[in-house]
Amino acid sequence: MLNVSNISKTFASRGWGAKPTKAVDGISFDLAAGESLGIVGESGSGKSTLARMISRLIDPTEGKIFFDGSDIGAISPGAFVRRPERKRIQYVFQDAGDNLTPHLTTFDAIADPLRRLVGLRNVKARVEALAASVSLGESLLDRYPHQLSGGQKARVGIARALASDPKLLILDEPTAALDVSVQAAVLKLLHNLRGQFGLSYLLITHDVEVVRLMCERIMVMRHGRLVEEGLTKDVLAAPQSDYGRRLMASVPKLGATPASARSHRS
Amino acid sequence: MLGIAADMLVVENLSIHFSTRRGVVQALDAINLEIEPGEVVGLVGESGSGKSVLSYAVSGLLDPAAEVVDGRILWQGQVIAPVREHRKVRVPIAQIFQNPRGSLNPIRSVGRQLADVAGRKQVRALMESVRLDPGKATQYPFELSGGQCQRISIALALGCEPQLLIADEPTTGLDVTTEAAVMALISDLSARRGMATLLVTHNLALAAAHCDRILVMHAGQIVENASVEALVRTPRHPYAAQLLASTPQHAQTADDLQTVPGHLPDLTGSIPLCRFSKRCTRYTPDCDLTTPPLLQVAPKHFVACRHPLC
Repeated sequence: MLNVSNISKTFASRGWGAKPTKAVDGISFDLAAGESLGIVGESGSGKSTLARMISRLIDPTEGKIFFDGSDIGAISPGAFVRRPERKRIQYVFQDAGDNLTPHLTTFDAIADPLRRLVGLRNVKARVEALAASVSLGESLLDRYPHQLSGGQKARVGIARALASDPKLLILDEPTAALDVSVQAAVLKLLHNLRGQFGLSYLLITHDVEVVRLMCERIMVMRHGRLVEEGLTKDVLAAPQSDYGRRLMASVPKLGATPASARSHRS
Repeated sequence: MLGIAADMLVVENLSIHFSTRRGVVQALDAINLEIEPGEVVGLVGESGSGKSVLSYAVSGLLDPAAEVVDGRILWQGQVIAPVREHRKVRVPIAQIFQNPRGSLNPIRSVGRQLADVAGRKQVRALMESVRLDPGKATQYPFELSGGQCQRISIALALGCEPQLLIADEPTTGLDVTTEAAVMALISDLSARRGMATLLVTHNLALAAAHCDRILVMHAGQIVENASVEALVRTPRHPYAAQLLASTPQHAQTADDLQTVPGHLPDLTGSIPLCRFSKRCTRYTPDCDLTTPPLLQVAPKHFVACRHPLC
């Protein structure tokens, strides 16, 4: 469904003698319909730049992006808005709170993509169905973002993304700003929605544990390059690259011996 | 378990309320805790559980709007005020904050900020102690990464030679490799300097990996106080057990993920005696009769529940 070949992005840097930054450097991968791929890496590894190129928010410097056979990489971000593919690729942003328009109620926030992208006039039934599918109560529909909790805002962001009946959701750190128990609820919701709507996920996170639960395949990025990729269970069990090993070792594990008990204190 | 003079920090029966337009928020309710020298204690709970209010009370950063209804905080036997304006004595407690870049002065180089706290001669040693290149002393916070800024704030905190470091969500917003490095640094400094640490976090897995003991907070109360091993293996309070089951580490697949049903009670007005009762699967009508008893279920393992798990 999605085919990315040898994609790169170079950002020009400002200032005298500043070298351009190669944020993404020659990444290729495929994503089948219904599949879920996790991209992990530290801050600045190019994960979000890659996602922004695929969702056609920015232009790649080199390389091609095919979605359902059409070369969407060649379409400019301005023209992409009017393309039918625009509805099929949706982006769920990192901090839902910052990415909801403050003067739109939950109802209008969800209705907005229905009106703009789908061209629906009578949106009420559809908005209510979408809100129900992400377990947002009807009483929340006339609230503004500042009256919602973090988990509720995340659900609004997901409902908005689902509005245009997408095939691919790009999830950029969907739970990074949430509490552990709220994170669990949102992850569970995303997992169920994927089965229910037959969605593909491109999940960007630095939390390897989230990828383990959500994705069959994993890609590890560092400095814009692909360091390691494979089935999640294989990569987690036996990472092949140095960086992959370091990343897996940094994940806190339940029941691990506390650091102070390991070291010199009696 | 109360009032032993040998304890470094003792919080006795502390209750704090905030008066707001919506009513009186009962933010902390009868908090008891002790921290011994060199101990790394985790304070875990969801947003709004009162973790930060408690950490601010201990470090004396509470806003004057806070009303201390009951209880007191003792530092080596001496009473210290939780509210900023009333804290007259200086105690060796330092705090690092959630947003490292936001807690530094943006228009002073990091070296100067360190010099303000500890004197110019100490800058190099402090930067080396947090494993930063002293050459970065002339740089400004915006030139450093999030992890480097957090190291600077740890160095600032260490500049006051604290005996207790309060780390309020020190690694939120940092990625896992940086998080591991920052936490290893804090653990190492705790061990080498005999400095105690109170790690405030919502991440139970992070607390389990770095602490000796964990306090679980819910709606302004400490519901369980246990060693890491005991809490991870045999949590006794239903909330602690559910919190544990909601960590990704605990689940085999996404279907196994558990969530804590319901949400925190409204802390204004009348609250049920057991503040967890509305969300609890083990609730029985006798939970409403008295406040949940504080049971000692094992040595150094306390739980505030009428029907603890076993």
